[in-house]
This record gives sequence, structure tokens and C-alpha cells, in this order.
Amino acid sequence: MAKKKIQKKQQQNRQKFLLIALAAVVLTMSVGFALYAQTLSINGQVQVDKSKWSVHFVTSSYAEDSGSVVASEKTIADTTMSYKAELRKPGDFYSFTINVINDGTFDATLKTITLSSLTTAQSKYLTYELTYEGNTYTTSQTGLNFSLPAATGTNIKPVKVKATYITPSSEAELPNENVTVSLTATLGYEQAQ
Amino acid sequence: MKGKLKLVYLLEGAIALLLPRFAFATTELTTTGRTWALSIGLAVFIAIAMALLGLKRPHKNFLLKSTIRTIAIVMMSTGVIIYTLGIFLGFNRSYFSTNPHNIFVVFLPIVLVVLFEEILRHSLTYKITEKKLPAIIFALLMSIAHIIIVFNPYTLSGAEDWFVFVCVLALPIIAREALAAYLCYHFGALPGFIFKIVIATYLYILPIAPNLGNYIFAVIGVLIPFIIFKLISKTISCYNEDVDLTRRTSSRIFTIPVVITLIVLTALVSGIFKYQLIAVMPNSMSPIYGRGDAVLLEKVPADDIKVGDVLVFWHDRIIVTHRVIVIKQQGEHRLFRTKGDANPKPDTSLVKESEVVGKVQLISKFIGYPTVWLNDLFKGVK
Repeated sequence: MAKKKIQKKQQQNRQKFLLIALAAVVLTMSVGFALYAQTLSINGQVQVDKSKWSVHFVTSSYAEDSGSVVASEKTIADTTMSYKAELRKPGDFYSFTINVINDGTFDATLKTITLSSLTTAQSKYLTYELTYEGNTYTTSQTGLNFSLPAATGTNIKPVKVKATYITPSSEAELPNENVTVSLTATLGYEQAQ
Repeated sequence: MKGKLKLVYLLEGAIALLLPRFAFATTELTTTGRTWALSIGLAVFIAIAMALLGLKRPHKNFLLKSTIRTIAIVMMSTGVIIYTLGIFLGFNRSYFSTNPHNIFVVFLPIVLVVLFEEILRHSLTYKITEKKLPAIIFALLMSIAHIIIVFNPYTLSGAEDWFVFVCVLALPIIAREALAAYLCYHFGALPGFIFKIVIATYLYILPIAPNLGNYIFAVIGVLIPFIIFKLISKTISCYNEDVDLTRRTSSRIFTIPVVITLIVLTALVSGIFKYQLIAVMPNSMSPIYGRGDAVLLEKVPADDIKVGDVLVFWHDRIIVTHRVIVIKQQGEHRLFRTKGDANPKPDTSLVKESEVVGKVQLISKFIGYPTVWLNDLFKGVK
């Protein structure tokens, strides 16, 4: 009887051992296949694609608007443009349109437009404005949200710049000598969110 | 009896010595060729064993019939379960063509190996001795022989491949041979033959097979022999009037939680249900979770994803979990801009709806570390 009990105890211990061994095997398989069952590898910086930020002027798109004086000098680079134009009398204006293109790999958003400020005296005979997406600005702007996607077909937007010699309210406000006014306009693009 | 036992050890020793020759001699053969070679070798040993030891007739008692019935029920239930799983996982068409040439060349040696192996096992281990050692040795030898048949070194290029080979092929082979040894020791060749012939041939007989994946296939491969063993050993205990109710209760207290844990773990890791447990490798989502943690993802349609959800998605054949920061509408479809909480910039690519797996629902700290360590080990061995 005692021998039978011992045998019974041994048999149960063997079965417990087998169950533990099975649990260990299944657990090990689970640990291993938790990694590979569905390629369960999780990365933070996931396979960063070769990316390119490229928002710039399209040089060939520069065009002076009808009625504008012709710039005596102009230089157009990727992201900068400089010009020199002479406005001889009230009513003269220098206006041009140039395209901005996003040919990088991710979307951009125009966030800021920075226009140089005119002095009080200058503002009596001169206006300076930039037109983008149908909106005309005469002062610097922040918090804009004009998208410039990278997708072909939607990645080109025109920018119009216009400096106008206006007729002041009185003759005294006219400049009494040649005035050179430096005007700048900066378009601030950022990666779209 | 002692003389017969010595003969058994002698024959098993001879098999052990010939196995390496079998392995080297059949290196250039296909799996079918190796199966034919094994069947011929087994036939030779059967002839020798029958001449030296004879073949004892098994007792056709209640236990034998009950055992065969148990095996049949477990195998049929398993078949129903795995083919039902196929509804979720999909099916593969059987690659076996039922023309006479294939039946003779491919199917026949498989049947012959199972038949000869069980007859030889019966001759060597049934009612020869009360000792279990001859049965254990023969099971080990046959496990090695079957592993040699399926072993293909050209497909094992790294530690990961070895891990899959061991889990999917080697361990189920060992489990099947162990069960066959147990069945033959108690009942003779018939129950073991029935069990192994179903396992070996169902893929050849049925036109489709469920696409279980390596993980489920491996777990089933070790679980089914164990279940059959448990049921039959319980039947034997009851039949021999060894039932002790208090001990049964205490063993259930131990067994049931272990079984439930294994079932839940298998269900979660397999990914075939709505929820899946995955291990996290990097720290892009810290401090919420990081390397060594595990996340429970819920498989949801892309329409249910909102800004702020931690999205689980495919990116170039790996799975990523990052937070959704922007959802863009592109026609009828949605695109998701994602960013790891710890990353300074959003991810450069937008996630398409077709790439969405689900979203993270629960985070469990540290339990992913074994997977992370194993991955580091595999990469180190590579």
C-alpha cells in the first residue's frame, strides 16, 4: 500500500514536471514569436527616408506685370531675389510676379511674411505690398497657414511684389531729391504639420 | 527477459551508430528521398527485431479501445478548431497533387515510415520489460531520425531560423515521439500508429490547410501530444483504481491556472484575435512606454482612429507605434501624421489607412524584456 502511494506520488510529480516543462516551452515560443510572428519590431525613428527640404523661387517664372517699370538690375537665386527699379513720377510702379515651388519630399506651410517698414515720410509717397494666395499684405504677418504641398500639381504658388510711387496729398510731401529705398520681403516657410 | 532486454539495447545501439551514417549518406537527398531511406532502414531492423524478439499481441481490452477513442476525439476536435481558425487566418491550397506518381513517390514512404516505426517500437518495447528506458531511448533515436529528414542547413542562416526550426519542427517531433513511446509501452503499436498517421498525412489528404503561421503551428505541435497524454494517463489511473479525489483537486488547482495562462498568452501573442500583445524595442514613445515594455493593441478599422491615439501601423515591413497628431482627408481616404512622443519631429511619411493595424489600449511595464533580450541575442549571434 505504501509502495502504491509512493508510486502515485511519483506519477503526480512527473505530471507536474511535464506541465511545467510544457508551460516553459510555450512561454519560450511566445517570447520568441512575439518578436517575429508579425515582425513585431517597433522603432522610434522609423526608417527615415532620404528627405529633402526644397522651397525656392522658380527663376524662369519671373515676370514683370503690365505697366510696371523695368528693373534696371535684378538677381534671382534659389531663395533670394534682389532688384533695382527707378520710379520717376507718381503713378509709376514696379511690380513683378515670381513663382515659389516646393520640390522637396515633404509639405511646407507659409507661416510668416516679413516686409520692410516704410518711414512715415516714405509712406506718404510710396507703398509696398506683397500678394500671396489672393491676399495682399503691406505689413509683416505671422501665424499664417498657407500650405505649399510637395505633391506635383499643387506645389507652385505665385508671389507678387509691388512698389508704387503714389501721389501724396500735398506737394510738400514729395521727395525733393532722389531717394533710394531698400525694400525687402521675406517668406517664411516651415515643414507642414 | 534479461536476455531480451540486452538484445533490445543492442538493436538500439546499432540504430544509434547508424543514424550518423544515415545523416551523412542522405545529405544530398530531398525530404522524400530521406523518408524512403528511413523506411528501408526501418524495414531491415523490423526483420531483425522480429527474428530476435518476436512481436507480442496487444491486449484488446477496454483501455485500448478507450485510448483509441480518446485519440480520435482529440484529433478530430483539433481539426475542427484549426480549420475554424482558418476562417480568420485564411487557407493555403495543398501542394500535394493526387496523381498516382505523387501518391507512390511522396505519400507512400510517409505511411511506410510511420507503420514500420511503430511496429519496430512495438517489437522493442512492448511487454519486454517494465523499465521505461528502452522506450525512451527508441523515442530519442526516432526523434533524431525525423529531425534529420526535415533538417536543411541551407535554410538556417541565423539564430532566428534555428529558433523557428526548433520550435516548429524539432519540439513537435520530440513531443510526438514521446507520446508514441508512452502509448506503445502501455498498449502496443496501434494507438501510436493512428495518432502519427493522422499527423503525418492530413496535409496530403485534405485539399486545403489553414494558414496558422509558425507560432500557432508550433504551440499546437507540442500541445496536442500533451493533451492526449494527460487524458490517457488519467484513464489509466481511473482504470487501475488509483483515483484519489483530494489529490485530483489539488492537481487541478495547480493545472487549471497554468493552462488558462498558456491559452491566454497564446491567444494574445498569436495575433489572430482582436487583441495582440507586442514587445517594444526602442524608446520613441517614452515616458509612456519604452524598451522592454509590452503594449496590448486593439485591431480597429482606420475610421475609428482619432488624433491623440497611439497608432499601430506597418511601415516598410516593420510595425511602429506612434501617436497620431494630424489626420488628413484625401478624397475618401484618411492619412495619418504620426510622431513618437520622445521624437523631436513628426514622422516624415504619412500613414495610409491600409497600413493601420490598430491602436494601443494597454501598456504593461517590463514584460517585453524577454523578447527584447532574445532579439538582442539573435542579432548578436548573427
